[in-house]
Amino acid sequence: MALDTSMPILVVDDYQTMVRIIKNLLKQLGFEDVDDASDGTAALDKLKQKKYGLVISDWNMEPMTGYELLRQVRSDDGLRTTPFIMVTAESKTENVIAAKKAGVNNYIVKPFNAQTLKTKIEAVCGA
Amino acid sequence: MAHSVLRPAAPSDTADRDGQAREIGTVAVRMAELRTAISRLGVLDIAETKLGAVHVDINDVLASTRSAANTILEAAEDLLAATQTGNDYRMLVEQRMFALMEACSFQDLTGQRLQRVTHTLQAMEERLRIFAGTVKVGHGTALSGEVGPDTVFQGEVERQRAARNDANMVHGPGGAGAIPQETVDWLFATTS
Repeated sequence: MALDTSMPILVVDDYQTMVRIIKNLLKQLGFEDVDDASDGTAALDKLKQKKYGLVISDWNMEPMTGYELLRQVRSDDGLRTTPFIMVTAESKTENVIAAKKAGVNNYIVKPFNAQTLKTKIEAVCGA
Repeated sequence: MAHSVLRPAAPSDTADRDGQAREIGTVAVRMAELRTAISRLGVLDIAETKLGAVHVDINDVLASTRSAANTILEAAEDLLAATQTGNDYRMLVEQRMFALMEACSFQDLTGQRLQRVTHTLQAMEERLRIFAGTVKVGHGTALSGEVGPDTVFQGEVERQRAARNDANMVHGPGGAGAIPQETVDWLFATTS
């Protein structure tokens, strides 16, 4: 599947190590326009300032969790169609179902590898 | 001995017995209070749930740290032992660098697990402080709010954290009920 590697991506995670890992993996996949935010509140600010082609977010963050960010994005007329992938260690059945019902496009369980990230991005954004 | 039993009790004996009975009554009341206070520590919750989770988290931290170190060492050894040249060498380097980056994600997971351990220790500390206040030893803090028969010495920090975690479904990595990526994918495909 062909991916539009010019699309801007927002990575949201409160662990800087994880942000670096995801950004490096995205760079290897060809994505150059990658921004980051350290929690849902900071992410919402960025989403309102720039149009992103994809949000990759952690769940467990403070003060605003990735789940809350997802719900805010889906309830905002200007953002509701933004593709959203949850990359998280919260891997209970109820979390996955809640995220799906809230409108997440895909769900990756940490730890993950580059291939999983690539497959999920293709599934969400592939032509 | 028989004489002393039959002898009518002297007024001072009666006073002693009354005093002892009062003391025993006071001790019994205090013991009942202590028993209630101990039960409000939530000992079973601490022993079976919280400490159990701490053991799991620390073991997982050890396991993931060991696994990450092995991955990093293997990648380094592969690169040092490489005999490829040109493009083949570049591909090998790229592949091993991916492995190194993926291995570094252990820091995120171990960080979340250790944070959960810290929160558990803080909660236990808070409960013990309230317990100390209730049994009036040391510098304890009295339990605020209504106290019912099933009240556990849950401090404000523990209560707020538990409420936030439940509301946001934030419970951290692994542990009981965690599911692998394949199950997540299946759930994703079958949940409407």
